[in-house]
Amino acid sequence: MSVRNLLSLNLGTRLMRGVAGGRAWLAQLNGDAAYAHYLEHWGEKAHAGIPLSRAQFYCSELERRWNGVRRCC
Amino acid sequence: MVNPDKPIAIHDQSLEPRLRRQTGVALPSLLLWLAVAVLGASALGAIALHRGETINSFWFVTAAVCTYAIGFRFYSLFIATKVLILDGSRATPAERLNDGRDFVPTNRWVVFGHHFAAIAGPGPLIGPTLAAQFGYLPGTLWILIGGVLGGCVQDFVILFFSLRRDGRSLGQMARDELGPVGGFAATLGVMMISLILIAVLGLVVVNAMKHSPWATFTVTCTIPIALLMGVYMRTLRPGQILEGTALGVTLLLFAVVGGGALEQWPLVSQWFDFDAPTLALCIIAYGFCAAVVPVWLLLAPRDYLSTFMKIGTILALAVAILLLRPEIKMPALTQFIDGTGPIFSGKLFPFVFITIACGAISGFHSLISSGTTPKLLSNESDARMIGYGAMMMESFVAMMAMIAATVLDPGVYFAINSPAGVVGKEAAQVVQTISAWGFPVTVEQMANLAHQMGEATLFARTGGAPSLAVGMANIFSNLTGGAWLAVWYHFAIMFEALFILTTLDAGTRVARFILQDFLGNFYAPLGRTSWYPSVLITSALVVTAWGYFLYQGTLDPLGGINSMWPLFGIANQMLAAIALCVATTIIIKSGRARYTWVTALPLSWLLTVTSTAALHKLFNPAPRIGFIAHARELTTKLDAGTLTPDLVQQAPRLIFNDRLNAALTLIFLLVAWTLTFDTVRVALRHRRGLKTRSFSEVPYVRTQLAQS
Repeated sequence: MSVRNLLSLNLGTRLMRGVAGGRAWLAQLNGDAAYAHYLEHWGEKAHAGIPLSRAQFYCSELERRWNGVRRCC
Repeated sequence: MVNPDKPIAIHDQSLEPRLRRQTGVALPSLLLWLAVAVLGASALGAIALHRGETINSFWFVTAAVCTYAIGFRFYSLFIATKVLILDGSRATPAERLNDGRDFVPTNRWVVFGHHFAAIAGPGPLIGPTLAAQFGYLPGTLWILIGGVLGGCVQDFVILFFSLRRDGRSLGQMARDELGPVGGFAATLGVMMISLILIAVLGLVVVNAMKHSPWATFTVTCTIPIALLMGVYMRTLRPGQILEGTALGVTLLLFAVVGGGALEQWPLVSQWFDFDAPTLALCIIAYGFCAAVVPVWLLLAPRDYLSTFMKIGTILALAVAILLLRPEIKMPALTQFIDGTGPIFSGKLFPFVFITIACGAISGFHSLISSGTTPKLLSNESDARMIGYGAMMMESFVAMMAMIAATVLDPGVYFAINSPAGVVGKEAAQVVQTISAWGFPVTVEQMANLAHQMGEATLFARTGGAPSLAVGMANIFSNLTGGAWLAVWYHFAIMFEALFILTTLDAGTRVARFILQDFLGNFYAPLGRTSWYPSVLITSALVVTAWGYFLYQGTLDPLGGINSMWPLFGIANQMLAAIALCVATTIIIKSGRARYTWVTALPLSWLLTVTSTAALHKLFNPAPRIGFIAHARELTTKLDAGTLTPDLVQQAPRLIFNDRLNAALTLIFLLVAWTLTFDTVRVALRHRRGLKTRSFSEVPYVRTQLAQS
């Protein structure tokens, strides 16, 4: 593999990683990643029963989060 | 338990590289910062001393960026290393109490985004717009100085203290450190400020929508769009927030453009043409519905929508201002610093300091800095960037609002923002009055402007939102070659209304929770947030409370904003004073009394300005300023029979409202001074070695995150 190809491959890999990182960051920012966090934590703590479904989790999270001051003036 | 007599040391400095790197200053770095300081001072000097026709907004941006950079680099570092002594080796509540939901160690830029989205509401946009009646200079200086030395410090220290107390709220910290009086005062402050805030913001939206079918249509569309998003994210694609938000934003942009077509259908158009009192009733009804339906259906999707629009529009405005560098046409100072301003009454001191609350210092932020954000931080050192840094961003938003308001011709600015009760109802009368002040404007100019913005009239559109929208539309339309002015104007109105209504929804819920908590002491089921009758009753009570002020504001001959915005400013700054009282107490009890000035100075300033403003609103003999003087004047005229027939009918209600406003002002004053005296009492007891409430900081636990 030529040096040029290697560089372009690295750049491509870097770009893909950058895009994937950006998407993961965005998912954290807008809350899309919250359910994955919950499942991960649920698995680690070995709770009894089954975890909430995505829809159940979404609703219960909203109720919890809006039970206080969330937005300012 | 921490020994209060000994400063708390950083346990392991090897885990504190971010702070340690910055404490020493190398020569190249010193030269760089010297250059930043000289550039900032030059820009500030240019702004302060310029007395020509116009001044370029580039000076404002330069002054702001340099001031924030120096404030963050040096002052926040001093607070972090000397006053608070951030300790990166200490496990945060998010790490220790990680439950995967409430307490979650989160990337610091994500926390920064959440925190900024939470603190940045309509306040930093409206306050500077109104304060521009004094000229651009007073508001600009207050935004910069108040931000760096006051607001950023408050947000930072409260975030840090809450972080060291497992994310306890401001009210809980006041109770822990000061006692039950402090706790009660803080909770009462939150309740009152929520009600006044909602009323005044509701009034801003009403004034933007009255007799504007396009604006009313667009804002109305946000409700079905939010409902659709709610169903999408709950049922169709559960929890897919980005998709739902993208769908909502797309529909919203269609609604903004589609509203412009209404004028071609007069029949449809009249369905969206309302006067201010009717719109106020609509908003009250909406507020009640939004408070009692599930969060997922309306509030949460609206919040996703408004957060996205807010951040997007603010970024776009920043880029547009940097690219276009528009000329500021407002003079540095106007004659209205003497207290005769048409938009709100009162002299430069103290009223500019309460008119611009958010953007310089806002007590409401302390509620976000305590409770919500600290539960997400994965490293204690990040408190500096998030607490101090996010407030700097908000302060910059206020600076942009000041620029957007002052790029307008001053005559146009005053014609839009002056209430009919001050400048008259007829267009010819309005332009004559404003031109006589030295700010030339013509009827044709206003008619053209209204036509360009797709409105029937722009006279007496008080509240700040319409003039800000005109300013933003002017700036944005330059990016589109001068086209689409009307679309940009209604986009800006929608953008402001969107997050004002989100604040209204969220504020109603907060006030309801506090009320439920209180009423639960008398009848336990009323305290249960899941008991629907309690939800209905308390929501109705809260909505009635703010709805009363909102409705009365629409009937006020002086436009409502004149009396309500100062009341909101006083309430917000009083809450900041409460937060700073709590922070000062903790600094003293943590054994670093020599640094008390860091919070005590902004506290003293706030107490001075808000007490002076409150006393003016109570006892100033000028009826346009003092509530009691206004009530007395109306009573005298009513008794003498010298009022006009329509005022005779309104007078008893206006007199009652004046007295109610006076009572509220008095309560704010008493709450703040009660807490101040409590702070002094605790400080003196601590200094004399007498028993005080124990220092409530949680014990040190070493972090495991930094090592992995």
